Amino acid sequence: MTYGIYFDSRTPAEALRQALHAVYNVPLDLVYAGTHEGLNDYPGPDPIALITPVGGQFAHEFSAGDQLRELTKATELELAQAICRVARSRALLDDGSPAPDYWFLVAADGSYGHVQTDPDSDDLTILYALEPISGEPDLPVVPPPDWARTW
Amino acid sequence: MLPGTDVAAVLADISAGRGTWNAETNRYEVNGRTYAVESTGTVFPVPGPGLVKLSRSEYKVLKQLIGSDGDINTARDALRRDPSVSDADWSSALEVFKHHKSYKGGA
Repeated sequence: MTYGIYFDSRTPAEALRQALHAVYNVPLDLVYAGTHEGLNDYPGPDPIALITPVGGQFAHEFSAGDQLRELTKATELELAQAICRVARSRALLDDGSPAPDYWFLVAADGSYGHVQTDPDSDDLTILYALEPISGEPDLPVVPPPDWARTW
Repeated sequence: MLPGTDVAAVLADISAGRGTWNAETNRYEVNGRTYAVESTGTVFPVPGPGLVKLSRSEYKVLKQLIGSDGDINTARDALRRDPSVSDADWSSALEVFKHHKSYKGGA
């Protein structure tokens, strides 16, 4: 399995690295934080997780594969919740549905729910929540009509 | 979406009421393909004929192949230390990339 999680831009990448180390004891030199173009010049061992910059509100793209899974035993959602709690961050991740703009938003307290992102934005931008998320009480909630429900 | 799939025609068919709405699955069926709708009204295809579903790692490889203008060796070098990409991802992405205009052979 792979991980693809987008963490809030307001959280420093280093805080995410440290959280991964604190929660799952992942050696820091196995977590690369930087541009994808700079990865081949990284002097450390081959990393098992990447934190690379992208644009928008959720500008840290966290990606990893089977090696991280073996080390953490965590699902993508479990890992996002754990990192958000420790780093006091928020994250977006795939909700598993085929809808390209429905995501799970994980709040800083680990609570989560479906959100709608802006289909007209190149960056991940939340329009509203599709269901209440206890850790995001200020986020407007617009439940989808039945014909737009994919879960 | 593979070449030969006329998305504009499908959307026109749905708008003109020529699609079949399945209320149980919340999906339109048009010309053998299936589409669904988000809360914003955005219509999106569900994997079926003419549409290949790629995992995010397969998609990452495909994007790199296109970004490398079809130079497979350059794309492989760019992703060689990416822990989220496996050999299987390359196989799947290359099968799709063969349909792209920048494919120059070698897959």
